[in-house]
Amino acid sequence: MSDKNLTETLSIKPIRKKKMTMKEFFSKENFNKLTVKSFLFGTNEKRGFIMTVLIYALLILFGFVYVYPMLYMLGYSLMSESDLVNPSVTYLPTSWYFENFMEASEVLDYWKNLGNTMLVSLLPAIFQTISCSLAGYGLARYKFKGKKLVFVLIIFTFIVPSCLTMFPQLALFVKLGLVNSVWSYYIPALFGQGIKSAVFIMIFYQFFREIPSSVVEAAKINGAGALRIFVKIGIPSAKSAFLLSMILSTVWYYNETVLVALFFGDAITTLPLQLENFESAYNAIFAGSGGTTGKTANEAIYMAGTLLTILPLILIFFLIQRYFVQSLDKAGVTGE
Amino acid sequence: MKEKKIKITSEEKRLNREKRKQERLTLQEKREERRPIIKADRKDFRKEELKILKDRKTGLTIARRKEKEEIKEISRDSEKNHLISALTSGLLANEKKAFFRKMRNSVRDNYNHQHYLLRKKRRIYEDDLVAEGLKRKLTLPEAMNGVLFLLPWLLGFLLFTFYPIIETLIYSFSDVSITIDGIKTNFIGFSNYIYAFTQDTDFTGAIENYLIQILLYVPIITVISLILALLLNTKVKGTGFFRTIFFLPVIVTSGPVIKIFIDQGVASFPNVENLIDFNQLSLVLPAFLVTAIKFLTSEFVMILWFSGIQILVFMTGLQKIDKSVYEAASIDGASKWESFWKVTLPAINPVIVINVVFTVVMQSVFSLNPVIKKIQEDMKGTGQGQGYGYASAMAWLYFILMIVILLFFVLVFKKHNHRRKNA
Repeated sequence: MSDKNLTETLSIKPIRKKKMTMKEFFSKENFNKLTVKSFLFGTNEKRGFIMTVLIYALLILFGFVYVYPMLYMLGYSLMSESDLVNPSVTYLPTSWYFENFMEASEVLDYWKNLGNTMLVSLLPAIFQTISCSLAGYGLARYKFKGKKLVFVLIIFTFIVPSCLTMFPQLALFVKLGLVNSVWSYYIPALFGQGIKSAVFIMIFYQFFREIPSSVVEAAKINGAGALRIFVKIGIPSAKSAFLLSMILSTVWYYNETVLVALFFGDAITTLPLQLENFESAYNAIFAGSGGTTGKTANEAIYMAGTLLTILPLILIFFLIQRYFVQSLDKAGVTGE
Repeated sequence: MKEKKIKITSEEKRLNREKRKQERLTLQEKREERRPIIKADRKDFRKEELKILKDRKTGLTIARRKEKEEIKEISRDSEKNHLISALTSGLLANEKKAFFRKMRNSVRDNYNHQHYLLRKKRRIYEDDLVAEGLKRKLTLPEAMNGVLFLLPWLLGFLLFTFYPIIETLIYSFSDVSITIDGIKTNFIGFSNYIYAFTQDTDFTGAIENYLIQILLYVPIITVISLILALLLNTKVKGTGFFRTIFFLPVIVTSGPVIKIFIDQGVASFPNVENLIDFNQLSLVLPAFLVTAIKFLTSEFVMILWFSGIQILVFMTGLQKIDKSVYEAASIDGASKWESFWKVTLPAINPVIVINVVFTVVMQSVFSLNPVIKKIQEDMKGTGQGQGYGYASAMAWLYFILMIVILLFFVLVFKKHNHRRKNA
């Protein structure tokens, strides 16, 4: 590597003015002039080279730990049975083997259950977002007696575990004749009592509080009513909160299994729920039919099933990831 | 000095009442009288408004039609003159398009302005009516609006949180049986609670595991998410990519998925578990420490997976710190390390509390939590130590425990904060 190249790649230009040879750069005199030292250890204004390397190393290390299970899953889901048995094959399969996905999708009853899952995740998410935005707006924009109490109650709903409320809720839905129907999911969401609604109310509260009151006053003087102000000023100024809330509540509804099992019984199964019963479902299809093969679900099929279950979420996430990061930059999800 | 009360005689009272009645009557008469006029006026306004809207529409359609025709003509010309004018005609078409766009905009603006003026006029007219007492204004006080916005939530809270909690409390003191007529409760006092504490070793064991988990997970998650947030907050390239990676687990974390990962041994690094001989270890260390180490070795990656949202919260907290404070600190001779302890940490202390609370709650309601699992298993079934009554009692105990833990963590951090302020 030539000297010029090295100095360029190391980007030490701002520190020194004239060009130096390697020899000069590493000379004792130069070191005393702090160039090399400041390059390595940084100055007050600029981070040193060692620090940068350290940050990247830590980020990459943690990043690897985070994605390790997913990489593992991806590798194993493509393994054939011979690959699994073969001790020399550890992470990467020897060939593309998609049979696992076929079997797993059959066990999961994929397309039907995917539709079900979307039905009980996307729509409740929309309802929840609407109701929580209303509540957050009411809290952020208005002063009224008992507002503090409402805050305390919201935090209370956040803390209450669902096992404390679900059986009476179920009894209520039985009374209303809504059990085994999706409405037992939609109605609490519509009334702001969905899964972790409190978080979303707080996010919306943060966003709506940022609206300058002069804008609202101007709108009021021009004759806009409360609802109109909410629609015309509130919603556009909290777009990122809406996105954030939609994503998170979709994800949390998608991944919920306990309530689904309780409220819908056998009427509706979702992908995660089916994954929970993966082994028995697998045996019902493959091992039980005449006992010709006597197959049991191996690790590769489990991994394929898991991958298929989380695939829709990952796809959605990567599609909207750019907007999501933008909205996070604006979000002040700190709460007081 | 006492003020002299003006005594109103009954005669005067009567007169006053009559006077008011008279006023009301005249107002009503006036209203009745003016009603057709008001109606006609309103109709006029409506007519005018419709006319403006219609004109706007026709104006726009005419402009659009013209534009289409002209563009067609240009393209016809270019067909005639072949290649040479093809380019220029393209440019011409663009110019024409821009011109028409401008025209359409001006048309729209013009009519919008007219519409605006009309609405203003109508509003003034309506205000006059209100001032004259010919129309009652239907506006709620500001506070009422806020309550209206919150009304759905309040109703939902009463119906889907408050009522169920009370109901569960009643269940927890009774023997619950489900019959065709509905749910029957039979009051049995504290025996559900007593059974949970004295006889049900599964429950106490689950509670113990839960406590170990929480006390282990919460500090780890908090510290690691703080470190990652600090790393992501530095100005290095590719933070967006890493942020995506660290957030990805939030998307996919669900009970069954995590369970499969743990079952397949992917929740930790391979062979870490085999490095430690737990039988040997249990001879030396107390039991709860061994359980803690077991959790750590078998679920380490999964612990990290629960810190996605906390990282985000920390990052927003860090971004809110005023940069000038750091500058002031560095001028005073503080190193980066010192300014982290003296500036960053105190500034994000409230964020830490939020994160700790969030972590505790998320961990406590996660479906793989040992206590939650136990409660769900015991829900179905009958007899002692089974059924909804007993499950409700356990749920209440669990809830109380959760609150105690939350208070513990909050107090620890609050106290910490206080001490620093005094120092």
